[in-house]
Amino acid sequence: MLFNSIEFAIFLPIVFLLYWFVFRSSLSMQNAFLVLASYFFYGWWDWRFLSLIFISSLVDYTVGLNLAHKEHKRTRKLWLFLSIAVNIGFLGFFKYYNFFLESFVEAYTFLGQPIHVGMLNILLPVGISFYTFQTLSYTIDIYRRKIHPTRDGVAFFAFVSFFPQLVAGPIERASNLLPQFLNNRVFDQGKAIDGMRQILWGLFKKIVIADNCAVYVNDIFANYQDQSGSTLFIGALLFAFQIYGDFSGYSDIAIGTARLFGFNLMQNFAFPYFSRDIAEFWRRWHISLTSWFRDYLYIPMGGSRRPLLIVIRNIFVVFLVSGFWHGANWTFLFWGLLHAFYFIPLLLLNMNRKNLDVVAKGKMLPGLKEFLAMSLTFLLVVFAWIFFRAENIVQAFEYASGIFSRSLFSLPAISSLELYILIVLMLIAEWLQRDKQHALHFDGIAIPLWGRWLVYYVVVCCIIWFTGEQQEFIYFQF
Amino acid sequence: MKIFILKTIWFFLTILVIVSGIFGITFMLASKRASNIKLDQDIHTLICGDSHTKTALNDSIIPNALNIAHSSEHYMYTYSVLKTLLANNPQVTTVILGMSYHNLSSFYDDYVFVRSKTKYMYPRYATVLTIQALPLIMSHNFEGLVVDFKDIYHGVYRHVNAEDLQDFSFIGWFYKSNRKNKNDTTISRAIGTHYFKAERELYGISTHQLSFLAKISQLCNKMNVRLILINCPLSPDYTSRVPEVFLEYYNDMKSEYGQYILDVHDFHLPDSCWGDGDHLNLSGSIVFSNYLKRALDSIAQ
Repeated sequence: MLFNSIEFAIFLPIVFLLYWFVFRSSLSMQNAFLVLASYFFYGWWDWRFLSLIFISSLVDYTVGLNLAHKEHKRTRKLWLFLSIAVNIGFLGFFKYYNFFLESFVEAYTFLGQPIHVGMLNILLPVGISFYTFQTLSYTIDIYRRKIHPTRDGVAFFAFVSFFPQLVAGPIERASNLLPQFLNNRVFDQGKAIDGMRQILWGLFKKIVIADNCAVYVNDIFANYQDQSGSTLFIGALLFAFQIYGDFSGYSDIAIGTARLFGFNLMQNFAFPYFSRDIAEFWRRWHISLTSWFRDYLYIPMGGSRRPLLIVIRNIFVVFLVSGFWHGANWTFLFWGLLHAFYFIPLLLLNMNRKNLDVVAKGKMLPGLKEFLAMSLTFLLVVFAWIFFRAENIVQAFEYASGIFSRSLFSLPAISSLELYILIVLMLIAEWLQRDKQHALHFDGIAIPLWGRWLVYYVVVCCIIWFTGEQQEFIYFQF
Repeated sequence: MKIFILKTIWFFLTILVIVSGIFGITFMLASKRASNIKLDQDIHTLICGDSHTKTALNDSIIPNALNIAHSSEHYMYTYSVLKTLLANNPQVTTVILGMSYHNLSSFYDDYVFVRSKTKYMYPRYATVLTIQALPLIMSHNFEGLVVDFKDIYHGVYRHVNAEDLQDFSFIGWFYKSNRKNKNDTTISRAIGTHYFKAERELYGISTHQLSFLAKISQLCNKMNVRLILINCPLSPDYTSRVPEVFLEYYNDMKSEYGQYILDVHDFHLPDSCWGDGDHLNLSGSIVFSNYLKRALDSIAQ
């Protein structure tokens, strides 16, 4: 069920009330209830895939326990390999089987030796890219002796299947989330209220911004050959806001929902479009995934503590794998490759860790240099999004080259003033709150009660009034 | 915890009250405007139904007639429109309603219960929908009501200041079709749409269509209005492919509605008169409407 659906609007309060009123006396009952609710939530998409998440959870729970008891290095490696094989195996089969097969066939055809292989009609289980990485981080951290495994099977299953973050993240680390299942949760009104605010802001970004942008983006990308350069540029720009509204909106709803149940999930987006360089962008966009690749791929390969050429190789590998994680298409690989090329110069000039603090901290507006840096970074990101959104590599290149034509300076075909104003209002709200968790994070700000409620009502009215054509969350396809 | 729950309930309740209040006031104003629709005094015949009557019955030929048919109009909507118009227009003495084989098919219920279709229908008819329609819609398509609330509100709002007949979205009109596409492809497409779901599974008979047809009949009886259920011309190629179950059911209905039915589905027309396999074009509507004019005169006598 989508977060912005009637079913979820009914599901959430029921689960909330049962969780805090019926099951709160027993931690294990509360966790068991969460497992039940989460499996129900996941099964709503397709009950057939419950077996996958169950098997993945069972394997990693077992692997975790055995890794703790085994001392022999080879044995421990074998257990870890089992976990990796199962999780990556599931991912590889469901997500990449047909891609590799098609590419294999195309390569042979290109070489003049066409072959015919039957494709499998494989459904991609929702959230598989997220929960497999989450459970992998558990077993890898145990292998590295960074954490101890849990014997509490129910808590572990709840950690893997926790419904707010199950289908599209944040990809949680066991060291952060698992202890929260092992300790009693106490209802915190302040946390719950802020959770509701975050859900509200997430719904605004998803329903008002992302879904309304999607209408234009879908039309422009579907008919890109007939559009002017300026319209194509607007299309890419709107996609940048669509994917941001969609994904960060989902993350906000997930984090806000988790807080209603007393859980703290990691921040997944930290206002990435205010980044001053690409390195900062990747510290602010899909934080849970980039930190996962940093900790489980980049650093094990040596990270930055190797000769320069090896470091560059590591950067390329991480970005390519990150691109590939998003989908079985050459466009995603190219998108990752582009970002690697964006990143390398910063690394070579030792400027990749320059902008660590909030932009224009303590100031209302950015300086000229900061503004130009943000604009350039944003434009580079928008250009890369073209490859992310396009159906195939040929379309992506044609789209991109279509922008850079004389018609770039003509009036664009899209003139939705309402949408532009809404995007600007969102950016203003997020700019003003750029040092907070989310735009409606009012803790520590002296706003009277009536003022806060007025803001909430305005946001709700915007959601009701500007409801766009309902679109599925983009990241569900990953 | 209790304070949090109370605050949350209060928050959502306030929104519900405000939104309901705004919608309620708008609906009342629009409803009042719709209920005061006065047709020309010389309009004695209303032509209703879907695209079949919309294209076949030319109201500039049939005397004292007004064609208010809309494409894909379910009888639930037709009933709502008729109830509104007949209440304030006693000069109307005859209602000609399209009733053909496809009107019996439950594919029509998609226009009442399936969001991909109702998002166009609800805004059009919301102002006049009868109280019987609401529980039906809420039980089958509550999500459609909520998700398309904004469009429904816009649909109602535009009637608040409606002046002329064409300002009311639920009032249809005669469509002058210029098409000449009677061929196997268009006939196959129509048959597939009207009678078969995906995978060639047959649609059933729509109980909702039958129920609202009965209500229309009762309404006309109550308002002393003559009801004529017309099976507009259909090409033989189309009729030959209508599934048997719908042909049989239609024939059975003649025993229930016999005195009302004017079955002219086999009215002969040359190919040039067909827009496609089950719709007439302008030429066809002229020929057929002239015939119907004579037929109505003889019925009146």
